[in-house]
Amino acid sequence: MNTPSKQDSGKLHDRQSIILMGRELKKSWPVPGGRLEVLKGLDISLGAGETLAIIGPSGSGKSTLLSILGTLDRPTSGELIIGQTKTASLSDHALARWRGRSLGIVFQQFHLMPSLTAAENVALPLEIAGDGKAWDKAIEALTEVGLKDRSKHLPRELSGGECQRVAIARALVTRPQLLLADEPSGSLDPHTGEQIASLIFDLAAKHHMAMILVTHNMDLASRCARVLRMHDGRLVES
Amino acid sequence: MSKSYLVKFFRMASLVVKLSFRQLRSEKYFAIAMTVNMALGLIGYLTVDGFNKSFLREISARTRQIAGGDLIVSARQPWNERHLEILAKKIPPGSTQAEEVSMVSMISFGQKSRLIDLRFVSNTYPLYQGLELKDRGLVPVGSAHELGVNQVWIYSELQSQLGLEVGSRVRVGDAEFLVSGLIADDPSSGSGSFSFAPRVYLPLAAAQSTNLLGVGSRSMYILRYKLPVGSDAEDLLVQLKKEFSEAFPSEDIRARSHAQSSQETQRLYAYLNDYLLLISLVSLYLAALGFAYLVKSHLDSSIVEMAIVSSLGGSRLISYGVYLLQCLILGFFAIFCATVLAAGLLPLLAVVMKPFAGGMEGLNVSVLSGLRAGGMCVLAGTLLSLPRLLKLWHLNPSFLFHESAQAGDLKPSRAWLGVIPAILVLWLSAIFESRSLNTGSVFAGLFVGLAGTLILASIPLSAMALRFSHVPGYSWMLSLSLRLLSRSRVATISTFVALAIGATLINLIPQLRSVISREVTRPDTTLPQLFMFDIQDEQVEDVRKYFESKGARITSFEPMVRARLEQINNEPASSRKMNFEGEREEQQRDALQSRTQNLSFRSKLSAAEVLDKGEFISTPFSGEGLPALSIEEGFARRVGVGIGDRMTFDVMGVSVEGVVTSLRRVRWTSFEPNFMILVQPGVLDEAPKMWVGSVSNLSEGSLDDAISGIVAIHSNISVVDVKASIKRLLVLIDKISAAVAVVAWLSLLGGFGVLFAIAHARSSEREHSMGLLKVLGATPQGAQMSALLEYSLIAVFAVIFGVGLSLIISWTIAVYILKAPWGVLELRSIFNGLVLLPITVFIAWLTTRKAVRTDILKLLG
Repeated sequence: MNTPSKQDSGKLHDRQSIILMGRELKKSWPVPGGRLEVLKGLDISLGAGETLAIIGPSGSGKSTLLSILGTLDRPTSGELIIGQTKTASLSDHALARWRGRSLGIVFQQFHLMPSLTAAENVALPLEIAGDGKAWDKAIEALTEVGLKDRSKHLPRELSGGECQRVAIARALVTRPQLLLADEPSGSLDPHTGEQIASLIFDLAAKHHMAMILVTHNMDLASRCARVLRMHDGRLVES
Repeated sequence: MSKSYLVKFFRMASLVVKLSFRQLRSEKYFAIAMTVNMALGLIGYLTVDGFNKSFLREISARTRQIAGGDLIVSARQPWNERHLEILAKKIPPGSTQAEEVSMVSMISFGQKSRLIDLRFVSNTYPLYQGLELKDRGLVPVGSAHELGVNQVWIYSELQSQLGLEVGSRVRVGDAEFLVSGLIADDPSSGSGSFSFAPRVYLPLAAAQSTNLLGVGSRSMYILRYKLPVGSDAEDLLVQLKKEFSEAFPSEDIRARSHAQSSQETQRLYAYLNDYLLLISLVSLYLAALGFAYLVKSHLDSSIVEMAIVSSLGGSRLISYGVYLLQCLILGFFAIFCATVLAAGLLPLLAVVMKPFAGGMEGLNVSVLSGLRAGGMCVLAGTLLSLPRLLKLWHLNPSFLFHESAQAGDLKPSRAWLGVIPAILVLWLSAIFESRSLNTGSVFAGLFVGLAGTLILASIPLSAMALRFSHVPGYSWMLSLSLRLLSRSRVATISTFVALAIGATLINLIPQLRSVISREVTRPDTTLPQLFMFDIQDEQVEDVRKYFESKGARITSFEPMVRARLEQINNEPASSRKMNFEGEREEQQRDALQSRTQNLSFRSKLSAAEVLDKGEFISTPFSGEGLPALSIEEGFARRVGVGIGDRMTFDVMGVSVEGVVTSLRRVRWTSFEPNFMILVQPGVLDEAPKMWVGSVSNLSEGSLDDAISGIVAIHSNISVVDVKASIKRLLVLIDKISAAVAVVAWLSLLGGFGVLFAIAHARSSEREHSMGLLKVLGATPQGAQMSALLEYSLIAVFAVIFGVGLSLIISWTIAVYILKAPWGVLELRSIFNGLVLLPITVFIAWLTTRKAVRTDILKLLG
C-alpha cells in the first residue's frame, strides 16, 4: 500500500495513526459546453480518533466530498485510502461490504427504514454483515443513545431527535473506524440539536472513532479538533 | 351566475388543470402504474365484451339466415287443415313458405350407422341464402329442388365418420339415397363446428319412403315463412300465438320470430358467454383494488402539496378537482391502451370460441363498454378510497408546522368506510352483466367471500412473517423481506389477494374440467355401450331377441309416455309462478312450460336414482284416490312442487292426475334411461308409448355391426354409441375449458396489474430503502434480492392459498352441486399456479430494477 507521507492543509499526522487519506481528489460532471469541476485536486487526511469539521457555503461541494469519503461515489481522479484500504482497488461489491463494516454515516434527514422498528433499523448493518449477535448489539447501541425503551417503535412513532439517535446508534453499531456526519442536527431544534451533537462527540470519543462532520453550524464545527473550509473545490484552513 | 363567479370558476379550473398536469409530470410512476393497472384490468373484460358484441351484431344481421325465415311455426304433430286455415288467414299474401320435418334418426353406410339430425325440406328451402356446400358454394334461395327425390346433403363430418363420399349410397329409414352434396357451413345449426348428431337434408317428398314418420315418431313439423317487405312480423307473431292458444289449448304449437329463433339456436354460446363475462369482471374488480391502493399511496404522497395549496388560500375543491381530472386523464388513457390491446387479443378468443359461435368476421372492441368498465373501475376504486378522500375535506394545513410534516394516519375503523359501497357497485355490475339477480348475486357473493377469506388468511400470515423474521440464522435479505411484508400490510394484502384470486381461478378451471370428465366417464361404474330410443311397443321383443342373439345384455328397458303438464294443484301450469328470475331464466320457464314431458313408470328405483324425500310407491295403482308421482328434485324445485302437490298431465287427450309422494335425485350422466316424472305402475300401461333402453356386454369390435344390425331390422330405432358420445362430450368440455381458461388468464392480467401498480407505487420507498441498504454495506444485487424475495414470498403464499381454495371450491361443487366424485387427480392443477411465480418475480424485478440503480447520493440531500 502507498503510505501517506504528506500533510493536507498544513496538518501533519503520524504515519501509523492516519486512518483516512485522500490525494488529488477530483470530481467533475459533464455539462453543456464542458465539465463542471466540483472538487479540484483536493487533499485530505485524518488521524485515528481525530475529529474534523468541514464547513462551507451551499454548493461548495461539501456533499460531493462527503459522498466520496463515504465511498458512496468514486472520484473522477485521485486516490483515497481509508484505514489500510485503497478504495479504488475494490469492486463495487467489495466496497459495499467494506463500507458496511468500516464506515458509519449519519444523515441530516435520518434516513431510517420506515417499516422497521428502531432495533431492527440498528441491527440491519450487522445483519447485512452476517453478525450472529446483531440483535443484542443493536439493543446495546440503543441503550447507549438512551432509547432502549423505544426499541420496538417504528420511526413514525418517534420524534425527530429520537430518530436521529436511532440513526446514530445504527452508524456506531458496527464500531467503524470512521464516522461521517452530514449536518446531524440540521433538521432539529437548537436544544435537541445540541443534545444530538453532544451524543455524537461523546460516543466518537468513547469508541475512539475518527469523525468528519459537515456542517453550517460554526458552534458545532468548533467542537472538532480541526475545521476546514471548502473553497473553490479545495479544502483550506478555516 | 354572475360574471365574477364565472371568472372565479375559470380561474380555479385553470389552476386545477395546471396542478393536475404538473403533479402527473412529477409523479410519472404513479401515472404509469395507474395506467398499467387499469389497462390490464380492462383488457380481459373488453376482449370478452368485444367478442360478445361482435357476435350479437353478426347474428342480428343474420337472424333470418340463422332462423331460416322471418317467422317460424312448429308443432309436435303433423299440420291438419284447421292449423293451415289459421295460417292461411293470418300469413300475408306474397309470403313464401318452406316446410320442414325434423327428427333424430340413423344413417347407415356399409356396416356403419350413426345418429343424425334428419331434415326433410320442401322445394322452396332455403328461404334465405346461407347453407353452403363443399365445392359448390352457397345454395341459392329455393333450390332444394335440386335435391332429387333420392338424394341427400350431409354434414361433411359424416364423410370421415362413415367413410363415404359424394356419390355414395346411404340408407335412411327404409329408403336408400345418393349423397349429392357435403355441407360445409349451415348458419341454422347454431353450434359452430360442433354437433352430437350431424345434419342430413332430404327432400320432403322422400319422407314417406323412409317410413320414419309413423305413429309415435318424435318429429317436429316446422313451417318457415319469408314475409313480404314491410310486414310486421312481431304483430303477426302475437296474433298467431293468440289464435293457436285459443283454438288448440292443449297442443304444443310454437311460433317464433327470426330474432327469437336465432337466439335459441345460439343458446350454448349465450350461456357460456354469460359466465365468461362474469369471470372477466374479476379483472375489473382487481383493477379497482389496485386503483384504490394507488390512490391511497398518491394521496399520502401529495397531501403535503394539498395542504400547501390550502395554506395559500386554495379551496378544498381544488384538491378534489385535481383528483378527478387525474382520474379522467389516466382513465381515458388506460381505456385507450386497453381497447387497442383487447382488439389484438380478440382473434385469439375467436379461435377458442369458434366451436360455440362459429367463424366470426368484423371483430371489434366497444369504446362505450370501455368507458362503462373504466367508469366502474374508477367508481369502485374511489369508493374504496373514500375515507382518504374524506380526510382531504377535513385537511388542516396546520400540520405543516410540525416537525415531520405528516398529516397523520387514518383510524383503522374509518379505513373500511368505503368497502360496503364498493361491494354494492361490484354486486350491481355483476347483476347487470349476467342479467340475472341470482347469478349476479352468487357471483358477487363468491368474489367477496373469496377476497374476504384471503384477507382474513393474510392477517395471521403477516404476523407469522414478523415472528419468523427474528429467527436467528436467516439471511438478512430474508429477514428484511419478512419484516417489510409484515409492516407494509395494505400493500402485502392487496398483492396477495389479487394474485391468490388469479391462482384460484386458473386452478379451478382444470379441476372442474377433471371433475366433470370423471363424472361423465365414471371409471368406477360400468356404463352401457349403447343407448336406444324411439322403440315402438311391438318392436320390444325383436330388440330383446336381437341383442340376446349377439350375447349382449339389455341393462334397462323403460317405457316412455309423452304428456303435457297442464295443471299443478288445479292451477294452470302456464300461469303458475316458477322459481326463475331474470331474462335468461324467463326463457327457461317458457321452454319448461311449453315442453312436452316424458313420463315413465317402474316398480323400483334405478341404480342411478336415490330417494330424496317421501315414499316411492312401487305397487300397481288400485284405482282408489290419486296415483303416486315421483319427481326429480331439480325439476320439482323449478316448477315449485313438493310432497302432497297434485299434478295433472294431458296424455294424448286423456287427463291424468297424480299426487307427488316422493322426490328423487337422479345421476343423469349414468347414460341409463332416466325420467323427471315417474307415475305409479298400472296407470299408463295402456297409453301409447315408446321404449328406451341400454345395452352392454358387446365386444368392442362388434359395436358398429350391432348398431347397423338393429337399424336394418327396425329403421326407426335410434341408437347412440355411448363411448363415442362421451368422447365427443369430452371434446366439448375441453373446448369450453379452453375458452374459460383463456378468459381466466385474461383476468389474471388484472392481478398482475395490481402487482405492477403496487410494486411501482412503492418504487420511491424502494429507492430510498435500497439506497440506504447500499450505504449500510449491502451490494446492489443483495438489495434487489431482498425486494424480489418479498414479492416471491407473497406469490408463493398466494399460490398455496389459491390452490387450496380452488381445491375446496371444486370439492364443494363436485360433492354438493354436481353430486359427483372428487379425487386426487385434481391436485395436478397446482402446477398451473406455479406459473405465477416466475411472472411475479419478473414483474418485481422489472419494478425494482430502477431502484437498484438509484443514486445513493440522494440520501445526502
